[in-house]
Order: sequence, then structure tokens, then C-alpha cells
Amino acid sequence: MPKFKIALLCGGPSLERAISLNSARTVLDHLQSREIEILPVYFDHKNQAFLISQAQLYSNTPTDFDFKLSQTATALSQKELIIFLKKADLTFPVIHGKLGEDGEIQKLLEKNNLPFVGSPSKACALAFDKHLANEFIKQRGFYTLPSLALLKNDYREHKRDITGFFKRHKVTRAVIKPATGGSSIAVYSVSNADEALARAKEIFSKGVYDRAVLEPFCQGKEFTVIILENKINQPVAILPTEIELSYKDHQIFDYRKKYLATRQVFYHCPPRFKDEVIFKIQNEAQELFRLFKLRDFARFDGWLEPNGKIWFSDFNPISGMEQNSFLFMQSSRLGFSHGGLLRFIVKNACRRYGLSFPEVKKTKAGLKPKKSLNVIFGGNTAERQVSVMSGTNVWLKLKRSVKYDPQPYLMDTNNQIWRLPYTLTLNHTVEEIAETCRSAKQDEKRLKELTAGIIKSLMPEKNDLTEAWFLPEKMTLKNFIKKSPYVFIGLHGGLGEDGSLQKMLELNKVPFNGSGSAASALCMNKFITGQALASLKKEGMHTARKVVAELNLFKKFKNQDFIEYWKNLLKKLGSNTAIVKPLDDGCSAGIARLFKSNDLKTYLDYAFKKTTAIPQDQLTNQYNMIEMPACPMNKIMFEEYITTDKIQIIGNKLTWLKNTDWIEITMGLLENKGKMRALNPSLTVALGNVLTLEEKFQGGTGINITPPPAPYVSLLAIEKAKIRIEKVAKTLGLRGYARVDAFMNIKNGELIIIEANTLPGLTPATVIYHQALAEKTPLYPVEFLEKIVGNNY
Amino acid sequence: MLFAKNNFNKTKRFGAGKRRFIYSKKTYANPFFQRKKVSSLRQSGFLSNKIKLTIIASFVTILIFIWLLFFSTLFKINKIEISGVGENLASEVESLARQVAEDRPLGKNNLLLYNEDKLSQILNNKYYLQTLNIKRKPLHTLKITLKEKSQIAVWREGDKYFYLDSEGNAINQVEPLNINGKLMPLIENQTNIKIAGRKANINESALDYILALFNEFKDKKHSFEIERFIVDRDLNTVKMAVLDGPRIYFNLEETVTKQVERLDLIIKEKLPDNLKTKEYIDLRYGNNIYIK
Repeated sequence: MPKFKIALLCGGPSLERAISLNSARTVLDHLQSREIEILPVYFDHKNQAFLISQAQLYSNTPTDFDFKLSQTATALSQKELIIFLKKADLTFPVIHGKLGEDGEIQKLLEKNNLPFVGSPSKACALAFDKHLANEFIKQRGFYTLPSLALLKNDYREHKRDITGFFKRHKVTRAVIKPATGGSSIAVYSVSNADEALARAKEIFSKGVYDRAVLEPFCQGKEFTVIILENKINQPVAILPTEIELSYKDHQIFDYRKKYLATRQVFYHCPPRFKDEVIFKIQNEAQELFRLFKLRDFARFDGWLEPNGKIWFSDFNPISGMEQNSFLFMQSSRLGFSHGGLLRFIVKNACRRYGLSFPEVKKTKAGLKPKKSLNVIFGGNTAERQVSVMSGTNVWLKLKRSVKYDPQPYLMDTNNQIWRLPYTLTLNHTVEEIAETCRSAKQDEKRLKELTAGIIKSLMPEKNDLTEAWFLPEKMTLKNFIKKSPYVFIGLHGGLGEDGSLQKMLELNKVPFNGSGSAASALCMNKFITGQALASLKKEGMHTARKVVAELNLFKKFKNQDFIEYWKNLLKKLGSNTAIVKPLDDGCSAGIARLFKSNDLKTYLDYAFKKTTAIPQDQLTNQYNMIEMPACPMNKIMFEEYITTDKIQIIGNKLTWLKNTDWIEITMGLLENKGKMRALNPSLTVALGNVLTLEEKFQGGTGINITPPPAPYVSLLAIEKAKIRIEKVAKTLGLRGYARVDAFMNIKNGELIIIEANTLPGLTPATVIYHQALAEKTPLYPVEFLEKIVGNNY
Repeated sequence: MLFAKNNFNKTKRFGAGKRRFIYSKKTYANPFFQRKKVSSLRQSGFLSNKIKLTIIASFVTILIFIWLLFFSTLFKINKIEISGVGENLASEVESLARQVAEDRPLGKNNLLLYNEDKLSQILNNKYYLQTLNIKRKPLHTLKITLKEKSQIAVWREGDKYFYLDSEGNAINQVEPLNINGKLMPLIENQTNIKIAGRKANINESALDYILALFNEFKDKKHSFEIERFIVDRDLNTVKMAVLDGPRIYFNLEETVTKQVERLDLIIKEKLPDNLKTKEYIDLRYGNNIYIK
């Protein structure tokens, strides 16, 4: 029987192109099956359509392959695109922002009578324009805040209009944003007309937007709600999420807070609002969904003012579909899995067009039973939120495995372990999940009451709701180990990565992923790692010069002492600037580039104050906030700064400014038949001085090119580097899988090792997946994870 | 007389007075039922001891011989001298030679029992040798002199690398870390025809052509750094990939000199500053040069 083909449209011209890639990846992961085939079509920044491989969907950002597409693939003409889409049974646009949510792509599909998932073009166009939508709902009697539309071409009027708006509405704080943008990209909080004017200029200067909207900042509680259509085309608003964050100092729910789990934001689902308020939000949302004539699904963002008034501020016809996005978080409270929800939405769309959507067949009897394993994530290190992303992703991916049956477990900040139900695993941070677990018992009754009505209205079929709710179970680490047949460690830093947990598991003879306790302990200390690799120098494997210092040494330092120390330090390191990092924490926490003695002083001030982060612009050329390690720092390590070739990707073009013939790479390793084999390396392009957490793990940021591109990097050099990395792995005793970060000479493949990660991140956008996919026989993420587990289970 | 004569004869025969024979007392005995003679018994015992001694001596000798041959260190191979090849290959050959020495139930590592033919066969199978000479040097040394066919290029196929001789035969596989791209050209085979036996999918003249190009550009003419040469499905074509620069397509049926002259000219006149931004320069069609 032929497979049901779904053309998945992703990318697009807006800055949300990368978010679209995340959504497409989730759809691919959870919808593709033996009965359903996903055919990805990618739109670049010029709206050109390309047929791309499924493997490309696992890239971190479109930039990873945009420039390759322009060299290796031919864009489809509109006619060719339509012919291709006609071959598919259904089209699923997951383009956020322009082209996808403004109704353009839907117009094309409607014109060619192509069945598709989601709202019609007119509804999208109306809902997506923030100013038009606000005026539309205002006219229909819904509560709104005033709004001012600014046209790019009328820039001469901007000053007058903005000043007038501030005066007329007595605004003390406002928000200015593109009228047709999403994901809070280019959204700014401003205090006065001058600031607003400057930000307006900034928005228009991007060349992407031609209209902007100015609104007063809403003083209230932010929420978001998903609306799903049921099988009789009635909208059902499901359980809203309250977004709790501090709006002080012009903070808003911005792109970073939306897509990188952070303690600065706390989600409450259901919201802490009174039940009547929740019902009111749901009713209004359903009413608006009907008024806009939206279809299948949508997400509305809004505010609950202190006076009880509800303002719906943003209407998203295509809600983001990251693994723990609001769409999946809210629907999982009802019992939907990711796959279950996507099938529910697509099935309803099929019903509309009279298409028969294939039911997922259950695994044939006689197959080997799945092996049970426990995935643990969280912890109390600075990397705990990344660990949640890693662990959740591993759990979700392995859920699709035919070999393993994974269970998610959270380690909270007190090292207590919680066995999690499906829905709580989708919360964003360790603190949030732990808090939800603690209050689960008392919240259970309310949750059941609130969801019962929604489920009834949604009219799900028998197999739609598969993820039953149960109360989270608390246990000690010791008990967790005792009851685990296999532990997949998704923890980063701390006891998960320093060999302590590995030691406990070894003593209890419980198999686990990654390196053993000795290698883990060794690699955690970057200084000792460097010493262990010293013998490999003559074979072309070097380590950067390092200096270790006790933090206490600097406590009584005066300005002159810093100057003297800095001078001596640079002499020892042999470079003009230095990298500073905590000695025992993995990942990118607390890593900064120092340019002068004053930077060292500032860095140490923050270290002594034990702050969670160093805000942007405190150090010379500091483009991003620097997260600091969660545990107190005792020792720091200075490392020589390795100057590399300057690589940039602007538009679709890669520019390579030759400098030293060194580039920064990251290379994954996977054990095969007892030997660690190097995967294809990735060239890492840091936007600032060092890779930030976002660049490493957040989908849609950072650029990795796998393998480093010809003609800049010699093929032979890459082969040599791979062999050298394997030798590094052997010397350090790495097992299972690992990732080594290094500088590579593009001509001879010599390496300067930065660090070896015994438990590399496994977030959806992490580079190790691209590397496994770039192998001669591509390893897809599920297979890759199965291979990691299969090495010793 | 007769009697006297007889006596005389007997006396003469045995010596007078030494023995007395009484012929009158004649007794006859069946030879088949004769009692064993004491004297013969004595004689056979003596002989038996002698034989025994001989046997024992022989046995001991054999044992000593066996011991010398199989168990003593008298002929133990302590040293394997390898000449004619580099350090890495020498250690590989030594390891193979030691495997052969070990590969017998008795007499392991014995110089006298060393199976030269077997080693010769193994080495010839594994390497592409120009000469091979295996000699035993008393008492402990095995001397192997071998010379590989001289390597003139590195051939990449899939993810494996081989040294090639001037006829396009693969000499041996080489680890990437041991390749020095500055000494000889690296040629990547992008055709579907893989090495058959030892023969790589390149002929002698194409190899000569690539060597000529390599020699022309190896000293960074036009600041080119040759990354590799590519042989693919395009007939009579060799592509030179320049690190951080374009690929240059050459026609194997036209001389290197002519095409290089044209390249020099085009670089001088049309691409003095933007050569590195180009994707390729196609010199295969005479005076029509295509640049992208």
C-alpha cells in the first residue's frame, strides 16, 4: 500500500526561518511512520523553494546549509513546486512569520486546489498583522489596548506620530514591534518617544519589515492559549499557560526567553488564574478563532489585566512546534503525545478534504519486547536547563525506537529524583518541573476538572489520547539506581559528568551511556586533560597553554596587582588576550575572553559575588550575557587565545578571511565494535568571542558547517584530524560517545585540543546529530541514540 | 698315516698341545634341538650392549639435535634486519617476519627452520615489491632486503589512501597521517571504477600529466596550494582543486604547457585580484576558457 505523503513546507524569508526548521524537525520526528512519508520543501530568504533531504532538517540553523543549497541545488520554479506538491496527498506549511503566517503560501495552495493543513489565506493575513488584528477585534467588541501603525515609507511622520501616541495615551512604557513579525524578534520595550523612534528606525533598517506597531506596555499577566478544531470543525481552546516573568528593567518575553529554557521565566499550566478567568479566556479565544475563520489549530497570546480585562495581543496561525512548545505542553495535559496531537490535527484537515488518513498500525506481535531504560536529566549545575532539553529530546526520540522503552526521570536541584508523567516532562526548567511535581498531588483534582470539559469538547477518538496522567514519584538517587536496568545520563556538569554518578552505577553494575568514571573525572578537569594529552604533541595534537589560579589569590588584589598579574599571565600564555574558564565546570558556563587587566578584575568581581550571569557589555567586546557556573568557583584557568581565520556567513555567502590557517571545530565520536570512531567534524562559527550556550544548544542560533567546506579546508587535513581525535579519545579512555572541541589547522589537520566532553549535549539542534547524518551511511537521530545505548545494553 | 696325517693337520690347524680332539667318541645331535651354546650367548650379550649403547648414543644425539633445533637458543632469531624501506614499513615487515617465525608448532623462532618461501609469499602478496631478498645470517639474524616499487602519487578511493607507482598500480595502503601532500600529488578517484587487483583507474600518461601539473604548481605559483587532483566521469579530464581557490579543469589530450600558458595569461589579464573567488576555470576547450 502506498504511503500517505505529506509535503512539509518550512523555512521562509523571515528571521523565524530557523524556528520553522525546529517545527519541521518535530513534525518529521513524530509524524513520519511506516504509513506516512514526509517530503520536506525548504524556502530560503528569497522565497525560493528547494527540495531538501530529511537529514537537512536536523541542521542547527538554515545558515548551515543555505550557502550549500545555492551552490548544489537548483531552486524549483513555481510550476515545478506545484507539480511536486500535487504528488503529495497533503501539504503541511510550518513556516512562521512571512510567507507562512501572512497567508501567502496558503494563497498559492488555494489557487492550485491543493489540500493543506492550517488556516486559509485570508484568515492568516488578517490574524497575523498585529495592527489589523487589533483593530478587527476592537470593532467586534473585544477589549484592546491602543495601537499605532508606522509605515516604513512615512518615516518623516514617525516622530510626530510617536510623540502624539505617547501624549494621547499617557504612556510611560511602550512596546514597539514589527506588524508582521513573530517569535518576539525585533520586539523592544521603550520608555519614551525618542527611544521608540530609535527602535522604529532599527526595525525598518533590517530590510525585512515595512510596518511597525506601537502599543502601550500591558501591565498584567501574560498568557498563551492553543486552540484546536475538533472533528466537527468547532474550535476548542485547551488549557492556557500563564507566563510568569519579571518585566523590570524593560524585560519582555523575548526570543531568548522563548526558546532557551531559563529561570527568568516560569510557566504555569494551568494558570494560577481563577477557573472563571480561564473559562473566559477559552471562550473568547474560541470566539476569535471563529471570527478570524481560522482552521485546524492556532495559538493566541494575551494579557490578563489586574482589573480582570483580557486583551488578546497576538494571533499565530501556525504555532511553533518545538519539542516542548506551548502546543505540545498544553495538549499533553489532556493526554496527547506529540505524535498523537499532530495526527489529530492532520486527521481533521484530511477530513475536510475527504482524504483518508492512515491509522498507525500497532507493532506486529512476535517482535522482541522493548528493553526498558531510564533517562535522567536536570541536576543543579549551570547547565541543568540544557540537560532538560537533552534528556527530553533523548526520551522523546527513544520513545520511537523499536528496541527501547524509555522513562523520563528528573534530578531536581537537591539531587532528588522524580519519575515523570509525559506532560510534566515538557515543562521548561528543572525548577519548573520540580515545583510542578511537588504540587502535583494538590493540583491533580483541579487539572482533572479543567481538562475533562476540554477533552469532551475535543471529541478525541479511541487512540488519540495515549499518555495517561500519573502522580510523579519521588525517590533517592540510590533507589533510582537500584530500580534502573539501564541509565541514560542526560545530565551535564556536576555529578553527572564528573564521574561520581558513573562510579555509583559501576559499583551497582548498572550499564549507562558514555565514558566510565575514570575518563569522566579526567575530562572534567581541563587542566589535567591537557596534561594527559601532552604526550601526543609530537603526533600533531597540542593543547593550548594554560595557567591555573586559586580564586582566593585575587581577593586582596589592588588595581596595580591586576595589571602586574595580567602582564605576567600574557607572557606565560604567549598571547595578547586570554580565555578564562572555571576549572571544573563543563560546557560554556563562565567562559569569557579577556582583553585587558580590567576585564580580569570585572570577571572576578562577578565570580566573587556568585552571580548567575555577567550581563552584556561588562567586558571588552562582550556581545552576549555570560552564564556563570551554579556551584561556587574555587579555581579558574586561563588559556591562550587561539586566533583563527575569520569566517562569516552573510546572506547565502560564506566569506573566509585567511589569517592563521586555524579554525575552531567540534567533532563527535561514536563507539563501534569497541573502538571510538570520529564522525565528520563541524566548523563552528562563533558570533562573539566564545561560543555561548545558545550557540551550542538553542535551535536557530549558532552556525555549524559539517564537514568544514571545500575549498577552504583540505580533505586530507580532515582525515588526519579524525585519526588524531581518535587517538585523543584512546588516550583519555573515552567510551560510548563523546565530543571533542578543538582548533584545527586547515592544511595539515593538526589539532589544539580545547576540551573533551564525555556527555555531549543531545538537544534537538546539537551538532553531533548533523555529524552522524553526514557519515557515509547516515545515522538518523533515533538510530544514533540506539547505537549509543546498544554499545553496552 | 691317514690318522697321523689327520692329527697333523689338526695340530697344524689349532696348534700342538693346545687342544685335544677325540674322534672316536662321536656324538651326533640334531641341529634343530641343539642346546644353546654358552659362548654364543656371551657373544650376543656383548653385541647387544654395544647396540644399546649405540642406540642410546644416537637417541641422545637426536635429542640434542632436536633440542638444539627446536628448544635451544643457539639458532634463535634475535634480530631481524630490514633494509631498503622506511621505518613504518620496516616495522610492519618485521612483524610479519616474526609471525612467520612463530607460526609453527615446534621450532618457533629458529633460524634454521625459518620458512623463507612463506615469508616471501606473504610479502609479495601484501606489498608491491621491486626486489626481495631473505637471508639467514648465523647464528641469530634474519636479513630481509626489499625495495618497494617507487611511489609517485597518493590515490584516494572512498576513505582509503594508496601509494601508486608510475604505472598506476597501488603499492600499498597508507595511513593519512603518513601522507605528505607537499611531496607528491593526491589524486581522488571519483569514478565508479575502483582498484582492481592492484590497478587503479588511471593510466600511465594521465599520471605523468598530473605529475607535470604538480611540479608546475607545487612551489605555489599564483600562490596556489594544490589540495588534490580529481579524476571523475569527465573523459580526458583532470581537475586540480586549489586550496582556498578554484578548481581548474585540464584536458589530458592537450599539452600541459599550452594549457598552463593559457591559465597564466587569463590570471594575469582577467583575474589578477579575484582568482580565489572563482569556482572553476575550464581550460579544456582550446582558446575558449570558461570561468565561473
